[in-house]
Amino acid sequence: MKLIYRIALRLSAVLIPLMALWATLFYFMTVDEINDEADDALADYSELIIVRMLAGRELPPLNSGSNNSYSITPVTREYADSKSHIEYYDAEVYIPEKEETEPARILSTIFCDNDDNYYELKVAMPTFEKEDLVRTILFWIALLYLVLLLTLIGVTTWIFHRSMRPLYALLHWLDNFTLGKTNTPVPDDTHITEFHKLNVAAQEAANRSAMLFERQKQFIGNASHELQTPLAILGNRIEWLLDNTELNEKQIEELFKMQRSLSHIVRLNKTLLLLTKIENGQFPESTEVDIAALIREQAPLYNEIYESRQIDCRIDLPDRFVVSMNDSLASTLITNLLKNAYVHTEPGHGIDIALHNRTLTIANDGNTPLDADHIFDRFYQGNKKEGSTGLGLALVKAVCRYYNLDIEYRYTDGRHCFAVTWPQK
Amino acid sequence: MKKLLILSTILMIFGITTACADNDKPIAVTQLPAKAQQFIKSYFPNEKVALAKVEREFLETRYEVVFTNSSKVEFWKDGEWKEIDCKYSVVPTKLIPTQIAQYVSQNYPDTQIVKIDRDKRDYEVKITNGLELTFDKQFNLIDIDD
Repeated sequence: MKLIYRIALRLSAVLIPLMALWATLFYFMTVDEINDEADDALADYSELIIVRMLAGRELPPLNSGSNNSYSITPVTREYADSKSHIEYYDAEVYIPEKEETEPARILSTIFCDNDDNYYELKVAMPTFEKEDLVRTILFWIALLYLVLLLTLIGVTTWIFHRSMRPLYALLHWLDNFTLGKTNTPVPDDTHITEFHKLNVAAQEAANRSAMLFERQKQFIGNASHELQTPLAILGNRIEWLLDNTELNEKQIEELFKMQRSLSHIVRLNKTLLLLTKIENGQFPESTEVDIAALIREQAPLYNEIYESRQIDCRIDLPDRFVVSMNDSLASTLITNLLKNAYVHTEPGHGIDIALHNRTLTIANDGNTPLDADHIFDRFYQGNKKEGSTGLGLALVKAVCRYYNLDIEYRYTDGRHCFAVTWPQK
Repeated sequence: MKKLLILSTILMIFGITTACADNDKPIAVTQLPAKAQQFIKSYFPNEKVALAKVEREFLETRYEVVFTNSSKVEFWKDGEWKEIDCKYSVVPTKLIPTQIAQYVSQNYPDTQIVKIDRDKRDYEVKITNGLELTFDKQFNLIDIDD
């Protein structure tokens, strides 16, 4: 989930109930205030009539154009005592002008004059206007609630997105970052302290890992290079021992074993050196290489070497498939793939080699799928095989990376399948 | 979450108190604050009360008494008078601050004061020719309104 959606969601979760509460409260308070004001107006009207009546002045006309109306009736003392002297209530009132009854708010007040005569005054005010007002207010509050909510969440999301731009730029840069290649520097187009710090830290981390990577590469290269001479000398010494000394059978056997181990180390060392060279881009010269011819030439060789295993190799190749590559790297690619297939195929099973649509597919029978994530790692071996360095597929991968070839491993229908695709020219 | 809870509680309390603002209630003269009762006895001794009521509003309470001679007096919660309205008679002279009475008799000799209203800032008096005079607490005239 993107951070921005999380924030929008949380904001909504808090704001929706909170603003709903606020809107409801606001609505009820407004309605309450309207009722209150209406009642106050009634009270004022009633007071005006009472004061005029007590002063013996002329009473206002019964209907002064407004829909308000009043009536004064003398009441007995007992009636006055039995009832609350001020009473508000809602009732239907007949309005003569309109010739119909309307719902109205009524205030009845009981008061007495100087001679202890009690009167009941009823003032009435129609409520339809009030109800219209309340309905309008309800509508507008609901609308305001929605619009305010949407604007608030929208604006927050937008502002957040704008403010987080440097972060997204950094994330984008991280996506494109690959160790061992020349990378663009971290974009640092911001005045915000926090983002600037983050960018600086990212740049420093990138520089540090690039430096370490470079150093490690150098170390492996140098170590392999330095090992070459002593290994060669060691080989010579063993040969000298075999040729020039009197040895019994046991000693000769041990020396042969040493020689075998030594040749394995030499091969390992050479491969490592080759890997380093590929990764350092030390094979600049390219020629036209016919991959189809190369396979036709190599496959029978491996067939011969592994003849004892009785592997059935089916080859399906076009006449020519010419690509521009360094020829020794091309043969490294093909031989390692072939060797891998031959070494890991059980005796009596088959290998299929096909080249169509610029894709070379080498498939061989196998029982269990391999770990596609690590199969191209150095020294990764599912199960150890005699005479295998564990670097073959790493070499294949390095060559592919060098020429931007697409290499893919998949396991389908009980077959391991390696596919190398040359990009369209 | 805690903040939200506090906020809604505050809103609730606010809402409830406002909703409590209620209509006028009738009240017996004996239920008025003692000061107000004393006031009626000393300044309107011969008047009968036609109607007395209490107005409770948010944060304030006021009392209103209408006499049968049509005069009307409003009191604050503590029983101090707020307004005396004698639209169809005359405000008792004893209730008018001397400076104001002097000013009115000097400047508007043939008029009477029918209404006096006081609050924290000023006095407002209405006289029979319809003018409304406003005095500050030092009894300087600050406004005339007709």
